[in-house]
Amino acid sequence: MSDTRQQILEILGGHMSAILARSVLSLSISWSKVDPNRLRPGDDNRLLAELEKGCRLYVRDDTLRQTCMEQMQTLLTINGHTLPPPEEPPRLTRVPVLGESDIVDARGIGRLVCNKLGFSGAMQIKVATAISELARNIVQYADKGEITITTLNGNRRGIEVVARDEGPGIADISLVMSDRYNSRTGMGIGLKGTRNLMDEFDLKSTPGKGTEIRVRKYMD
Amino acid sequence: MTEISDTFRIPIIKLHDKLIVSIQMALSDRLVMQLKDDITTRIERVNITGLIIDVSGIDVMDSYISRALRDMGLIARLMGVRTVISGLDPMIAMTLVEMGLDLKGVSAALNLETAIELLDRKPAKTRGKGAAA
Amino acid sequence: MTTDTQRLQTELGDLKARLKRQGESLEFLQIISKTFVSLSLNDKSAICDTFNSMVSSFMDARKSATLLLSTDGDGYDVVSRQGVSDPKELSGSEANEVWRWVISERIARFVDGEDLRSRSPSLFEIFPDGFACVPIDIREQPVGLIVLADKVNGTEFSGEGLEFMSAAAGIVAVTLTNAESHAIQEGLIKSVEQQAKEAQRVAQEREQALEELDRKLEIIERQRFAIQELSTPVLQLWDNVLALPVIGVVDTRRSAEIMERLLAEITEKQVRFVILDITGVEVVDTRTADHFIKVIKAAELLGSTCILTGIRPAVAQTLIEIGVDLSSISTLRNMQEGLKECLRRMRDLNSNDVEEI
Repeated sequence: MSDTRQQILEILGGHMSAILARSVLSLSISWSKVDPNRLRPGDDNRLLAELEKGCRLYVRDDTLRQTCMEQMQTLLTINGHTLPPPEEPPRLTRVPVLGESDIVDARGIGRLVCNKLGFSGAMQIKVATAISELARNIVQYADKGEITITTLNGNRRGIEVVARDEGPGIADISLVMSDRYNSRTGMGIGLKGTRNLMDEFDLKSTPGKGTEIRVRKYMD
Repeated sequence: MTEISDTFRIPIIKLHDKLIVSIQMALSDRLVMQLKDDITTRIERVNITGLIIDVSGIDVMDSYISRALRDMGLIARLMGVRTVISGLDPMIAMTLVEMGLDLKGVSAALNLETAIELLDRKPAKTRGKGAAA
Repeated sequence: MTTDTQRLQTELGDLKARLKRQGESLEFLQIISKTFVSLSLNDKSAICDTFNSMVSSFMDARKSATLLLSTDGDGYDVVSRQGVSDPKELSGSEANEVWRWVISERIARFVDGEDLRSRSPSLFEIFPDGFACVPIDIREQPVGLIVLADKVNGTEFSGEGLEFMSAAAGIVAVTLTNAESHAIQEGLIKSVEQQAKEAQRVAQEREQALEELDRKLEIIERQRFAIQELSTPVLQLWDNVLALPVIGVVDTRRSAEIMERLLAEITEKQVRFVILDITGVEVVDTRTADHFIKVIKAAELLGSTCILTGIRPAVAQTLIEIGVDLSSISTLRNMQEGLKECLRRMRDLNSNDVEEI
């Protein structure tokens, strides 16, 4: 796919210095939360509005600015329409974790949901990695369980992942999560890593009954 | 999701005195274990000095996979083979660091080409840790 | 008998004529009042003008004038006139004397030429045959007068004519009063409207000022962002060497941004060395230090070596005090030293060495 970012930069570069053009673009992207390379319907206008604000700072001449805006509009409209309309991710996805092969599925599904939600590449990988850890935890310690992926649409858009199992449970959570603990298979590392990757981490476990780990990652 | 059959193995290519493994898929635990076994067997059978694991196609690298890669590097070193991991995605690298994971004992290269260059040079002598980082 | 009959017949004819005349007057007065109402005149001079022309035409007077008490109350201003060339002659001190005299009578009357000559020669010149006049009373106070002279058919002003003038003056007075109160009302309405407009204008101005402020704030915010954006440039310093001079405060969010950006640049440009220069960072806490270490570690996972340069003395002290371990990281004095080190290592790489993480 042609790089829309680069094309916008070229247009902006015709009216301002390269470094300002980059600044205006990254500014507009961060403001509108739109990825130019993955435009959804309506995104083009949101991005254009921000770009115009940026151009107003640096392109003083009205006619020039208008030309610049028109060029970008044409570009974004053409690039925007080649993509299919976005699919809203399902609010809740259940992934049964019954064996080792389900780990790959679970993190793949998690990444897909994040992608549809519009998470950045880095965030998608973080969530997928966390899901991988949680699923592996289930496989290694409880044989089977379930992972639920829920999209959060409240004040803060994001994703919640809950891993449940009816395994032996964790006797001493604080020990597992401490820096000293390092299990033979690396569970401590996996869970601590997950906690570091996520914005919220909540671990509940009853020995003999099972474990529930609830993590959240927000978009902003 | 690409369905990978239960018997699928990650191909290991021998190029001159090196083994090159290119991972272009989501790694399941079975594939990881299989790869570890396969690499060990190949190192034993063929005369090589270097191992390159290209991870540019990997989806995520969690604690298990990173540990396995590290183990492969350590095993290879014990058998006289240096390991270079190439093409790690910057976002995955960031995730690894944020999780507090590392790939100690394995060298890293930006791409397959630099990995080959790296292995073609003489092995590093014991150098002061501070200077070599 | 015949003479008696003739006389009676004449008298009857006169009476009939008078009756007819009175009917006409009444009708005319009705017309006047209707006219005033329908015209809804609110301007004094317009009222007097209309009235003046109507009355003079009804009375067949060639000359006519309407005068109103001047605002200072000293004399009379000519508000409307017909057949009189110069209004000044009607409002001189001599004329004013005459007006005051006729008004003091408070009734419609006729002043004959001889009488006028003795009182005011200048007025006599205008009205050699004398004039008929009627005061305009508003609330029992004379505010002006109507003067008519020089009847078309040369006849004198009769008692009926004067009665008609009185009635007409009454109508004018009422109209003027209405106009006055209307003007007051109008004034009030206007002032209220004015106040409302003023309030609206003030509100609008405030709103505009607020909008302007919002716009300025937004620009400031955007510029701040732009400055921040520009303050973290990733520079290609040499073949295979990137430099990232970090300036200012590095908080969690910014360090995450720096990290993502630098790593993306490393992969994109495929560079072996990165110089992270923190000369511009005045304050370093555990978190910031932690972020720098993370950036360096991540860069190394990609196969790129990271060198930290420009640690200020104060920053170095803080780092030691808070116990941050930077021993695994190459640190050098400044960017020049950093670049030298990169070039040296590149030479080494080209000859033999292999760096291990």
